[in-house]
Amino acid sequence: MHSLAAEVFHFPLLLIELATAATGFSATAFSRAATSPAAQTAALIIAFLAGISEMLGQSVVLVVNRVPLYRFLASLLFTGATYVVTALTWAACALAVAPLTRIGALSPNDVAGVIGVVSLAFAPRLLGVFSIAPYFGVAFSNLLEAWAMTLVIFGLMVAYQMPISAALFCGGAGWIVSYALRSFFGHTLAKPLGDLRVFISGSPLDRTPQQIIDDVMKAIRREIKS
Amino acid sequence: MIGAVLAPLIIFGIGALLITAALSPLETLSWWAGWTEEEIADETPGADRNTSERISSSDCYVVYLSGIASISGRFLIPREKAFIKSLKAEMPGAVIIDDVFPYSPAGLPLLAAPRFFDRLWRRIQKFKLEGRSTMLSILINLRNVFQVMISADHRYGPIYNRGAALVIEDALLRAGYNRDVAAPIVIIGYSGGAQIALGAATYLKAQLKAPIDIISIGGVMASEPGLDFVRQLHHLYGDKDTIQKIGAIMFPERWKVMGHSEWNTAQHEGRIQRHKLDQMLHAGARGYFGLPKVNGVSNNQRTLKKVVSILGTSAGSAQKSLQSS
Repeated sequence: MHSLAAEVFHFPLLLIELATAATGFSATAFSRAATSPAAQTAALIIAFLAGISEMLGQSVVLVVNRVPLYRFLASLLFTGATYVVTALTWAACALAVAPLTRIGALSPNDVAGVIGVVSLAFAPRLLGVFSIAPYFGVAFSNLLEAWAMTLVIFGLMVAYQMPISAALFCGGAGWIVSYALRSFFGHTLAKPLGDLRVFISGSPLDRTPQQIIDDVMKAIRREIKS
Repeated sequence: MIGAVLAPLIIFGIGALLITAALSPLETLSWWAGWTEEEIADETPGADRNTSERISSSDCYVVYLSGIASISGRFLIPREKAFIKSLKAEMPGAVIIDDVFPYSPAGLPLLAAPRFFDRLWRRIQKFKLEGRSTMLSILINLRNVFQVMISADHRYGPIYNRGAALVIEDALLRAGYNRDVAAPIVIIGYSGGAQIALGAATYLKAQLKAPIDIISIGGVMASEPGLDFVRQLHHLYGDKDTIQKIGAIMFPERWKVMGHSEWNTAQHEGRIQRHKLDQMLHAGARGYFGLPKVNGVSNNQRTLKKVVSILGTSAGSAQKSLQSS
């Protein structure tokens, strides 16, 4: 009985332990994410949960578009998956640019480890749900993003003994490449991504609260005139 | 030893604050999404928006929005009650509405049954009525502070303020407001009520097309787009009131460096007038509505005198604009 409970709770406890340690800049946590398969799986789940949490925090977009509840939940899962893909892309970019540092600290054999480190760095974003808080929520979200970026660099430094400049280069590359991808392929991917989003949420999600309110105001004015 | 006790308490406090903050927009969001029992179109019982059965012929309509200690539009603290009573006596020609609860997009008082914590709010209200000041009262203030921040937030503000405008509009129509005459509206907002008044101004202006003036009594306000639709904002502030200063600090768009914000634009255009009240705090016996007399005059009377003089000026200019139209 005791061992069954230990089995059931082992993985969630590992998640909590890793996430807590990572947010506190624990070198041990990142070293585990680089070497242990269990920790790497946990790190990917952390990235997935971070996406869900962040989407919950930004749920105002879904709600103002009056998305039905079941589609709202589907959107949460979709965002979680998007975060995992982001972590994978980020890790791939870090590995791709690593030879340019001429240090050779990262090799193709480190794929799983780097994915683990980058995914674990998403841990502060588990608090992303709090970006729902009024007025200071947006600033809080930006703070979490900066925190996560710093953790990627810290994680690469401690897990692979990289100098800070190399970690900064490799870690920063992921962000820059994802930004560049968004800029260059944004238009090409906008349509299929938009279609996918509409399919999941049942709404284009392209209207801000202000635009929706403006439409309501126009309708009221028309009603008053008639 | 003290540190060992304090540290968990502080962590618990911060955690509770974050959770409360995260939960605070849910009422606004679920109201807008129609996830609650009542839909947007009929969120408030009462006035039929098209009826003109109870039209009165008043030249001025005054809506009072209470401060963050408010629990319902029907329950004002005794000091505020005294103020409203005197205001009604001083302004017999004006219609004064004091039953609006501004800290809910649907105007739903905290004591209303469908609320999750309505029993807690009732218990706190009972303590307040019995004159027992408890730590629990802080919960009401905290809850309403977050609603003020929602009104000031660029994401939720448009939704929340639209709801607040509907609630105010319904109260005006119930009081016999005639859309065709479009008599001037003055909203008196105490503390956080001033922010809600500013936020609602945009939508009230669009719906009623009437001149809108706002009198802020120690108001904690952001730089709101609603300022563009306000004829005059009169900000009454006590020189000992540190709370009202928070608004000027915590909302960056009110800083002087943000030259093109709504607040600074209104300031440059002379649409914001400041009125200093000596020796006044934000709340309590020495606050704006304080009843103890100093040199034969209470703070309540001094605030009333200032409000009445502003209302007199507003009514005068309103009458001119009505005659010219």
